[in-house]
Amino acid sequence: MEDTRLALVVLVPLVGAILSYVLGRAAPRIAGILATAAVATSFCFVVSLWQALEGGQTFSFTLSSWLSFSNIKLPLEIYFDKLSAVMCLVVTGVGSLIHLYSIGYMAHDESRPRFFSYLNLFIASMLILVLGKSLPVIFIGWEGVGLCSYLLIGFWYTNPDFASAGRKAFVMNRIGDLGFIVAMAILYHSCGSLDITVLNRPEVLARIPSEMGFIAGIALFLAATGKSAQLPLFTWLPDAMAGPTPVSALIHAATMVTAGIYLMARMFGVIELAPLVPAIILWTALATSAIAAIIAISQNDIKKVLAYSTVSQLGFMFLAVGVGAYSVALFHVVTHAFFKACLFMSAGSVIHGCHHEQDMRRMGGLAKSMPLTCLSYGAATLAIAGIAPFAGYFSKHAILESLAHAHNPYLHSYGELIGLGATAIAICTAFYMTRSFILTFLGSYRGEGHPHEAPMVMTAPVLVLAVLSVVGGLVLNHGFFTYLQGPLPPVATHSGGGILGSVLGSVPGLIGIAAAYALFIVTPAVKDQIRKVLWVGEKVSSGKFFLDEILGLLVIAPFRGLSVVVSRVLDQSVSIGTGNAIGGISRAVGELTCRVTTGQVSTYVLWMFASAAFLLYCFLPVR
Amino acid sequence: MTIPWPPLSSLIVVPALGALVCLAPWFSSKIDTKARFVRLWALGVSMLTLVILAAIARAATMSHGAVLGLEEAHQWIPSLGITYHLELDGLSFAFCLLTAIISLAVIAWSAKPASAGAGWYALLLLGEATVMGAFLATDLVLFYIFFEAMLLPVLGAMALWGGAQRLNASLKFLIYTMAGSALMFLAILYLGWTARAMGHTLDGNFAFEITTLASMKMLNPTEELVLGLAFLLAFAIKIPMVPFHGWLPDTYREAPHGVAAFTAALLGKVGIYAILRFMWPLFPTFMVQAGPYLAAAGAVAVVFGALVAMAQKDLRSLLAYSSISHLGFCVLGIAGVSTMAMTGAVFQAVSHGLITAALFLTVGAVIDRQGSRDFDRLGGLARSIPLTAFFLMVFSVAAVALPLTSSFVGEFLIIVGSWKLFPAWTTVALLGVVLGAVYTLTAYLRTMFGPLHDTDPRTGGDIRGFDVVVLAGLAAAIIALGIFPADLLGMISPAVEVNAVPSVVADSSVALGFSR
Repeated sequence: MEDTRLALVVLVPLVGAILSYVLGRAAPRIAGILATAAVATSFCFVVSLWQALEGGQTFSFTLSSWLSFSNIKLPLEIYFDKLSAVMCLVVTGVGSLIHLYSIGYMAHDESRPRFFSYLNLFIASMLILVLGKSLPVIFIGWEGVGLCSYLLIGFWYTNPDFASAGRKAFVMNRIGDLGFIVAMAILYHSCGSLDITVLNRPEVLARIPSEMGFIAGIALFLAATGKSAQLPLFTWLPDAMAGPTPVSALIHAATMVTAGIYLMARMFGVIELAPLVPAIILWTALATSAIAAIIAISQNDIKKVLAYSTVSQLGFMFLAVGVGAYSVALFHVVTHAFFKACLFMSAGSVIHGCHHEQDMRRMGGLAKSMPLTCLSYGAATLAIAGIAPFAGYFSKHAILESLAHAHNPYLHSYGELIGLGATAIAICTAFYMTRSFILTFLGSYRGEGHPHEAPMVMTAPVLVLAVLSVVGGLVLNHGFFTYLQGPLPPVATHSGGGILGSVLGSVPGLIGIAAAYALFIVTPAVKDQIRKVLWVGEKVSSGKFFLDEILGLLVIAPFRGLSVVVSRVLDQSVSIGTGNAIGGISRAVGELTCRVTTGQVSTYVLWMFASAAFLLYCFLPVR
Repeated sequence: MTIPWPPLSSLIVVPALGALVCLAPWFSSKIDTKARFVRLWALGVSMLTLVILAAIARAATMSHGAVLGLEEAHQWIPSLGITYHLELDGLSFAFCLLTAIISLAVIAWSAKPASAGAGWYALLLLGEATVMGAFLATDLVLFYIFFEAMLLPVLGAMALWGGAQRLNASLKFLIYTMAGSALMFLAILYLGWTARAMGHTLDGNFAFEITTLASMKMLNPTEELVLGLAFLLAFAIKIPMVPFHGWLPDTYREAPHGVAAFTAALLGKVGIYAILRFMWPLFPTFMVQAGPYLAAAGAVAVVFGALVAMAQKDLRSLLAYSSISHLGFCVLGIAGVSTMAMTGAVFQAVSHGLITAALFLTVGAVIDRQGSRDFDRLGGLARSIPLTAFFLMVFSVAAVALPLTSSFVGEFLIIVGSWKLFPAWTTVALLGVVLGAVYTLTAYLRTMFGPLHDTDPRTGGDIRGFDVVVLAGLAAAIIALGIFPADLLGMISPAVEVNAVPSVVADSSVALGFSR
């Protein structure tokens, strides 16, 4: 059913992006208000559409006939079903709160019209991504959010490191995009369509040859690893923390990085064509999640801890994708959006309050000076640690439970190992998050100056998200999986397991919290002992598994070298070689046609014209 | 045979006459008001050409439905069977539209060499006339004349107002293109002679008109191979395809900004156009055999151009090699019989013309302002010239083929369309998508981001006035074609099918899956 509200959902933030820049340059104060209002308006439209969804009903809207010509049909059409509804609600809902927060956070930045313009552009792109009715339309949003991410990471572009971080993010995402394009090419030729409502039909999927099905699945997963920061393409995300903190909260935690999960859920039919693909997803997700969790333990920059934790949590979502529990993955997307946005925004308040200090070693004791922020950060920490009844518990528990039901021929008998590994990561998560909480808020203040609580415009949205981090899981737990049945395959229903089950399910989180508490508060001496014993581990962890160096050595350096060789050696010799050949040809033609060469190129070019004319003349008497 | 009103010839005659008027002695005086007047005159002429083209297209689509197919034919040299035959179909229209827009943009751009007077505009208008002619002519001799004549304005402008190495560069350019076209000219004569010898023509005369020649099917495979190679060499040099690109870096480095924009946007496109217009109908068997090699050449050019561009530190050289890379996609697109890929290639050619002209002009503004084109001496300009930085960002984003820009449409159709025919080469070409992002963003990073370098600006300030209109117009065209490409695609695809595809499909000896 066509519905203009759907067009407005996307167009309002787009117009907001233009207005907040144009009008914001005249009066910088209104840029933030305009941008926030635009996203909030979009949120209202989404809610009204969501309310109107009944049963299997969907809405759609065609913006342009786009790539439709001859007998090719690829219109620019957007589409609203229950899966899009969930994503749109998160994007615009959490997006509105982060816009509001940014008004306070960016209050003293002279470039804030540009900031809010980019932020609105991001929302519009993200909405196109989750609303696209065909893969090329999704790709519009996919690239759009990549561009906004690039622009916002390098927002403070006078710092060349920040600008380089933006470029790194864009290029690494581009590598993933190759997968997206290849998948589109394969699916188009096999299925004759790129419409998502067509592609998941069994009779259409049956047309894909099996080896092509495997390549398409892997290609889509490659695309997802780029955007959702999984191995081998995750090192851009920690660097992306160069952007302003609201950007980290919105783009690099709550919304954009979950696009890969969304793509997997949308294309589940293709992902499951070859059982090897989900197996590869499972192992990649487990490795990414574990590596990121280990790195997070040794980070001292509060934003870096959260960044690695995001990578780790995204790995958790991919674990659910790998066992076919797409709605469980989506559930974790939603709860993660709540608590991770809350964590990032609390961290932003801390950074704001500590005068742009990000190193936790120069924080401490902030619970006294920033009580509201401490409360929010604490609630979100308990949520991410997976303590019942906080939001993260329900989604994390559902993932662990679905892992137990995994059946994939390629897992052989390692299925339980994955569940065990995931539990260990959950303990680890609780440990490093508690560590960051202790270092930031407990003990005594180790920095300089006087930290202060953030203004109301910043604390209010953080508190809203804190409340969602507390109750969000409990509220959504019952209806969520059944709601998404239709666009997504059903999963075994989870109940959270009653009181006893909740207590048992919280055990990994409690272990992690207790360990961190013991090591950082009760017996710091033991912690130093452990660090001495595990010094290799600490080196690896704080060195971030040397992934940047390895990638630099294996990929970037060869290409740079190739580039130099090709341009200095190949290009030069080819130019000279063909140059001589071309000279030879002209000489031969010249001699053939007139047999007069003066050895001077200029006269000889003249001769070429003359000889050509002569030749033409020669044909005359033939008749 | 329909002769539309205004006639197709007006697309050639109007700018040519306009160029002649520019040379009138009244204009060549050094008085300032007259210098301004000649610019307005040239602007008016190029605008009129664009209007005429739009009027013709509009009239044609009104009377013939969506597909354009206008012809204009006169006897010219009857004793030799040479005709004056022009045709405007969707294929020609796409390129003529590009020519009209680029000419207008380059003429309207305020920066021109200091010593250039009325002659600058005369040469640009002459360039417009000859390139238009090349895109309209269907008689091979007529095409050849335009194909050669369009060199003159470019060479003239480069030799008169180019950089320090201008004469060297001009000579190199001349020799390369002449070498290719000389062989093509011999091939054209051979075709005409064969047509007469076989007695296929009505009056027993030579024939050079493309549809007449193509319908004869008079060539044996060996002839097709030899003649096809002769044609291909001419176009490979013109596009240019690797390894025939030796002239390009010098030309793009030494030519004045406007001429570099004009050359990069238009001259190479004649090669792409001519392969579709002449080679597919004339040598279908050869083209099918050459397809995989052509696809390979295209894919290699994409990667080669991108790798060399990555190593450049000179902004203009970077643009030159990125052009080689982007045109590699076009070559890949015209290598195989797929409506999707071929239509995409034509669209990509138009899109690349718009984007590369815009980039040459914008980069020219940066170079003129800073007095340097070297990355190491630029940096941090986003703060001092924000409007230029904004436009450079828009065009860079378009160059890396982000969706909703025109180049995405072209590259997407080429890649998806070629995938079935040449999966391996398409995959190789895809590498260019990543490398393209690397060198484009690096160039942007080094010029616009980072701390402001302590160079002293030669001319103050950001772009302003008419130049903003020019860049905004080009940006609007690029984005409009990115969001609403369907009309143009719908014009191109039937023309491509008529020209290239049926000659192969009808030939049952060629077993080839018709793929879309």
